[in-house]
Amino acid sequence: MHSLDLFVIKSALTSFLLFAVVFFFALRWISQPAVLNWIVRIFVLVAIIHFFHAVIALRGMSPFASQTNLFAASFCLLISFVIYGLTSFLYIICIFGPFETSVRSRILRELCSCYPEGFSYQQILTKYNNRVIIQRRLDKLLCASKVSFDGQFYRLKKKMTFFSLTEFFVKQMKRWLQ
Amino acid sequence: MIFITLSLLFFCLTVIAHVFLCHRQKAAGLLTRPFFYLFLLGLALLMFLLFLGPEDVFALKKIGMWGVPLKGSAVAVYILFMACYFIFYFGMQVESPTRRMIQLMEKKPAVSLEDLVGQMSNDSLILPRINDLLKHEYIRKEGERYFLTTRGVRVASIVKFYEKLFSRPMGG
Repeated sequence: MHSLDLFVIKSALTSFLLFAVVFFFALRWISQPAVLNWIVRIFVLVAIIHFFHAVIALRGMSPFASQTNLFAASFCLLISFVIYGLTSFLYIICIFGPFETSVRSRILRELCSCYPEGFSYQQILTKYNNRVIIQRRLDKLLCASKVSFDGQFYRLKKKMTFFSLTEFFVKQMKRWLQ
Repeated sequence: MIFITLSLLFFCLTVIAHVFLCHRQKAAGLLTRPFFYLFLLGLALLMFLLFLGPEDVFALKKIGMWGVPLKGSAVAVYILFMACYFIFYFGMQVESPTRRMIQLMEKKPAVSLEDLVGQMSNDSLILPRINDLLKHEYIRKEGERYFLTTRGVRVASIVKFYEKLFSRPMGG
């Protein structure tokens, strides 16, 4: 593999590992509603570190030591960012996401707390029910500034956040696939 | 750049093939196995072209920026894009409570917690998921009570491990 190729992959994976480690330690202090905000902040912080590190490293690498290869260097940096972004996204959605939001996993967790005894449906609902599910999500949407709350009513804001982006992609996919 | 372009082209072709298969399928449900085979086929063809194909096809040394030799990165980009596509495809089939809440809030200018609780009952949020866990044998039902199966205990153990690892209780 060419040294540039190795550099792009190594720098992207190093940044992803840094993101995962910083996020892992930050989780001890982050409240549950603020998780999404902190994911974005940590991602951006690591992306800035990644940018400066990659620029310094690329400047010293042949054949990027001269100005004429600025576009190629920028392209390598862009691909490195793309790989970093996608691996971080997949980590959040596949590893952290189910732990944070999965209803099925929570039901299993509740049943595990009384294992080997079981719970009836009503007993499960006393610990985990629609009100808990909705309130948690409203708190997260409020923290992510997707909704506003005046003390009584919640209102949707037209702000482009992670939820809006994913909703947009899912809607487009539904149009094409169904 | 040409290698990344090739990778993106393969991604688009795989997605188009998957969309075509989805339109041909009459029954509802996820086409995960055909997707996985398409992904592997695309990956194999891409890797063949990048690593085993003739070098002079792209005339790398003469093309300049187009010849930036990012073969490994091209493969990584293809795999990551396919994984993201699958996540969105899977997400399309599963209705998350957050999505339903946002849909309800889009229909009315202002909603209270009680409005949402009234519209999203336990029977629509919890019961279908319990039935799904029963269907996939993560839990079993004896009389009126639900119990974890061996499979369910394994998953619950992973959740407990995550709680210790992240030093926070599970969400849900």
